[in-house]
Amino acid sequence: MVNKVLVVVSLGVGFIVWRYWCQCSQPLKPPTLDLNEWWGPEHLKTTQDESIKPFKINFKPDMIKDLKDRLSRARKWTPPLEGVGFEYGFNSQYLEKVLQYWKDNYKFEAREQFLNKYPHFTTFIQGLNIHFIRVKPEVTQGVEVIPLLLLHGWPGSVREFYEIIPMLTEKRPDRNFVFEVVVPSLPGYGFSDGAVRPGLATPHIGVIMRNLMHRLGHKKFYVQGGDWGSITVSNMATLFPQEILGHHTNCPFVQQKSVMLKTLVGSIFPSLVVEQKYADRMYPLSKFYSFMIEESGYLHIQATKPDTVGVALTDSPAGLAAYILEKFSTWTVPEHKRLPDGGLTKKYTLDQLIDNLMIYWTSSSITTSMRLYSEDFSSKRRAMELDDVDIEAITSSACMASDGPAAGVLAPSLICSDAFILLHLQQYYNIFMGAVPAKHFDCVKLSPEWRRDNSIQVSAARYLDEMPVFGQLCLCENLHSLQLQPSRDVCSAYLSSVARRPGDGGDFLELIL
Amino acid sequence: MAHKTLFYIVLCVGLFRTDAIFFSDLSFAEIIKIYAQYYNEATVSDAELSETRNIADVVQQNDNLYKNLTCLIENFLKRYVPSSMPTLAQNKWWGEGPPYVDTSIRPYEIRFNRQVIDELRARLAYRKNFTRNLEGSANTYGMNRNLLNQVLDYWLNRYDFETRERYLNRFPQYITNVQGLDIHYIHIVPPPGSKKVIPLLMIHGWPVTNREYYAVYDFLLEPKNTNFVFEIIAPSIPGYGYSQPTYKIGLAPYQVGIIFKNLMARLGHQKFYIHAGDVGLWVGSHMSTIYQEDVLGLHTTTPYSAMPQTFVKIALGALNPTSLVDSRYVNRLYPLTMTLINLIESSGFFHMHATRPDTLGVGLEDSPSGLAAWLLAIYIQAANPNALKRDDGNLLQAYNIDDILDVLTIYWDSHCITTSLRFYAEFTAVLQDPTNIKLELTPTQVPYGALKFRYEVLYQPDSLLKNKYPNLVHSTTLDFGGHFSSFEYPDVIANSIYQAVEKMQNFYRTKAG
Repeated sequence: MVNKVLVVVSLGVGFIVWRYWCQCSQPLKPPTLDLNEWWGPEHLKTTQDESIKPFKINFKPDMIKDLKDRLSRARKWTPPLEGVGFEYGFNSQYLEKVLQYWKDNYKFEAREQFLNKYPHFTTFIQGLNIHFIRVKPEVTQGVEVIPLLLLHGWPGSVREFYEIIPMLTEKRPDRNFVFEVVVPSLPGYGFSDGAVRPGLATPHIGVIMRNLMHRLGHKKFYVQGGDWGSITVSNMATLFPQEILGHHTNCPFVQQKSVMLKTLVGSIFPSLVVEQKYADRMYPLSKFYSFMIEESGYLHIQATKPDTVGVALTDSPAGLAAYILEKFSTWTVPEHKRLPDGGLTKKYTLDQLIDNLMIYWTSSSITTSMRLYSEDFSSKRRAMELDDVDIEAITSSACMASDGPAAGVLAPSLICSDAFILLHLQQYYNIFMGAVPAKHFDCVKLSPEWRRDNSIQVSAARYLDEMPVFGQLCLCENLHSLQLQPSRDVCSAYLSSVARRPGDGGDFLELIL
Repeated sequence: MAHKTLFYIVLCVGLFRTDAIFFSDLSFAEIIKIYAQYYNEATVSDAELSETRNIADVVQQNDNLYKNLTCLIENFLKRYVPSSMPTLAQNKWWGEGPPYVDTSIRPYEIRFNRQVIDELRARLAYRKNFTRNLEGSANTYGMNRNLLNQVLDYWLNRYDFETRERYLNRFPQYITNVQGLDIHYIHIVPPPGSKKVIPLLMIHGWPVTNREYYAVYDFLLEPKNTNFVFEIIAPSIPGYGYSQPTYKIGLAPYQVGIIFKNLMARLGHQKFYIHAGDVGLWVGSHMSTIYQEDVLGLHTTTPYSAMPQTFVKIALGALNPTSLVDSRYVNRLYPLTMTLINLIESSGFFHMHATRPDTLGVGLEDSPSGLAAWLLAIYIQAANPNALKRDDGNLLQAYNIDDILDVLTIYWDSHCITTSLRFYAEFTAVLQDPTNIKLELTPTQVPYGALKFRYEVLYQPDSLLKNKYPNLVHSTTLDFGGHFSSFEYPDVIANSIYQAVEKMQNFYRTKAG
C-alpha cells in the first residue's frame, strides 16, 4: 500500500510539474490595452484639455489647524507590552514623540517651500489630473539630454526622489549626457486623481505614464521605478518595448511561472539557481515565507478591503503616521523592529518622513493609494498574464543589501527577492552588462539603429547603476526593496559588480558594440 | 518532518484534483461532469449518466481510495498523538508589580465616562469626508461610505447613551482579580427552586465583549421544560471591554483558559459547562482539553477541528466529496479552491491583528469612525458574504443597530481595541509553541455540541469534528444565520444549548449506568 501511495504521489507531482512547464513554455504576446481608457467621471469625457498647468503644493492654514487639533486631541495611547519595541507594530511611546514633533517642531511653511523647490505641474490624462515634477537641465551644446521617468511606490510619493533629482540633472564631468527627469505621482497618490471605477492596475498606470511622456514630447525614454513604480515600469517595458529605451529598477523581481518552479528547485539544489554567496538571501524558503507572512498583513488587507482600513487612516493623522512609518522601520532594516524607536531616525530625519506623511494627509489620498493593491491583485489583472511575457527592453537593476550584522535571522530571508535577479536575467532578452545567457543575446538580429540607441542606453543605464546607490537616498522603500535600502558600506549594485569583474559579461557586451 | 511532508503532498494532490486523471481512462470532459455533479449542485440526468461510461465505477473507486488513504494516514498520525498532558502553571502572574492575592468580588456597573462620550461625539461630528467608493463597488472594496455615514450619524444623533447604559446594566456584573488582572463578568444566579442548577461559562468572541450574549441570556433564563436551570457566568476576555489587559507578552488562549478556570473556582464551581464562539472558542477548546474532568460539556457556534488528520481528510475529500460530506452541504466545503480563495479574501483583518496589532490600533483608538468601519465591515461579511455586493450590506436588516453600537461604545469607552487585537497576535505566537501544539493535537473526551449556521466561516462535517471531539453528542446544521448568530438568532442558540446539555447529561448517565 505504501508503495502504491508513493507511486501515486510521484505521478501526481510529476504531472503537475509537467502541466506547469507546458504552460510556462508557451510564448506569450503582450495584451493590447486601450490607450485612451477613461478613468475619470463620465461627464468629463468630452473635455479636450491637454494643457500643462503649473502646480504648487499648498499647506492651507485651515488644514494645518485641523491637523494640529487632531494631533492634540489624542487620548493616552495603549502602552506597548513590556520589553517590546516594534514587534507588535508601531511603539506607542515613540509614536507620542513623533506626533509631538509633527505638531510643534515641523515647520509647515518652510517644508512647504522645500516641497515646492522643483517645478510641479498637472495635466489631464484619460479623465484624471496627473501631478508631476519635471526638471529640465540647462545644457551646453553637445551634451545630450535624456528623458527619464521616475516612479515611486507605496507608501511613498514624489518626495522619495528629492535628494536624487539634482544628482541626475547636473552634468557629471565624465559624462556627455544629463537626464531630464519626470516624476509623477501615481494615480490615486498625492496630488494625482484616483480612478472613479474599478480596474486601474499597474499596466493601466503604465499607459497613463506613457501618455504623459508623449504629451511632454518624449516618444522614447528611460524608466526607473521602485516598489509599485518598479512593477509599473516593468509592465511599460513589456507593453511598449519600442518606446522604452532602458528599464532600471531598484526592486527587481519577476513572477513568471517558470521562476516559481526554479525557485522551488533551488530549495533543494540552491547552486542551480543562485550564486553561493547570495544563496542565503533566497533560502531557506521557509524562512523567507514566514517573514513574508509576518510582514504582509498590510498587503493582505489592502488587497482585499482597502476602503475599510482607509477610514481610520483618513480620519486620524496619528493612525496614518503609525501605519506608514512602521514600514519605514522594518523595511529599512528588519532588525530595527527590536528597537523601541524602530531605528527610524538612524536613516531618515523626521522632517523627511513627515514630508511624505504630509503629502498623504493634505491630499487625503491614503485610501485611493491602497486600492492599487486590490486592483493589481485582482483576477482580471492576473488574467492579463503580463508577468509571463518576456521583456525585450533593456533592463538593469540595482540591488542593495541591508546592513551587515543586522541581517540576523530575518534579513537573509527577506533579502531573498534579490536573488531573483539571476532568474530575472534569464527571462529578459536584451539585458546588458554581463550575466546575459548567450543564448538569449542574439546580436545578429540587432539593427544598426538599435546599436546606435543602445550605446546611449548602455551609458545611461550604467550611469544609473553607478549612482552612489540608487535606492540609497530614496525616502521610501517597500517590501522588495528592504534589501535595497541604504547602507553606504554594504550596499552595492549587484549587477554592476558583476559587470565590473574582469572578463565578465560587461566586456563581452562592449566588444559587440 | 515526515508527517509534515506527507501532509503537504496530500494537500497538493487533493487541491489539484489530478487524482481522477490517474485512476481512470475517462476523458477530461467526463471528469468535469463528475465534478460538476458534486460542486455545482447541477444534477446530471440519468440519460447523461448512462452515456458516461463507468462514472459510477470511478466514484466507487475514488470512494475506496479515499477510505484507504484516510485509514492509512490516520494510523500513521496516531503515533503522533501526545501521550501526556503538558503541565501548566496555574497561577502565572499577569498583573503589574509583584504578585498579591485579592479574592474580593466587587459589584460593578457600566458607567460611560461622560468626558469620553462627549469627546467621542465631537470626533464623530468633525470626522473627515471619507473617500468616495469606486463606482458599483458597494462593500466589496471594504466599508461603503454612505452606509458608514448612516451608522455614524445614528451613533452621533440618535443612539441614546443613557438608555443603553441602563440596558447594559440589566444583568448583575462583578469584578474580581485573578492572577493580577481585574476580570469583569456577568453572573446571573437563578431564583431558588426545585430544579437542578447547572453552571454555564459563556465566552465571547471578537469584536465583542460579554455584551455579545445579552439576548441569549434572556432566552436561557426563560422557563423551559427541563429538569435544570442555568447559572450563567460570562467574563470578558482580558483586554476586552472592562476586563483589565495585561502588559506582559504571552497571554495566549490557553492562559486565558487557566484564568477563567480560576475564576470559576472562586465562584465555587469546580465543574461546569461551556458555551463559546469565535476567539472565545480558542479558550473554550483549550479548557476542555486541559480540564477534561472538570469541563462537563462544550457547546459552540463555530465548530472546527484543527487536527492534522482533519486537514488531510479535507484534502483527500476532493477525490470524492460525498465520501466526507453529506451531499446537502458539499458546497459549504468544496470545491476547496473556492473555499480557500474566500478564506483569503475575508481574512485580511486576521492577518493584520495577528502581525501588527499596535500599528492598526493607533488609528482605531484615535478615530471612532475608523473603529466603526473596521468592525462594521466584519459584521457585514460575517452575516452573509453575498451581501457585500449590496450598497446597504444588509447590515441594518441583519442586526439591530443598537446591539452593534453598544459594542462600539464599550470598545471606545473602555479603550480596548488595541489590547483586543493583541489576542490574535498571542494566538499566532504560540502556534509553534510545543505546549500549545500538544494541546491542539490532544483530543478531548468532553462531550461536544455543534451548532452550524449557514454562513459560518468554516464548515466541517461531524466526522471531522470527531477527530478532536470524539464525544460529539449534539450537532445541528442550519440553512440560515452567520458568524454573529448571538445577535441574529439568540433564541436558536439558547435552544441548542439546552438540547446539548440535556444530551450531555444523558451521555454521563449512560456512561455511569
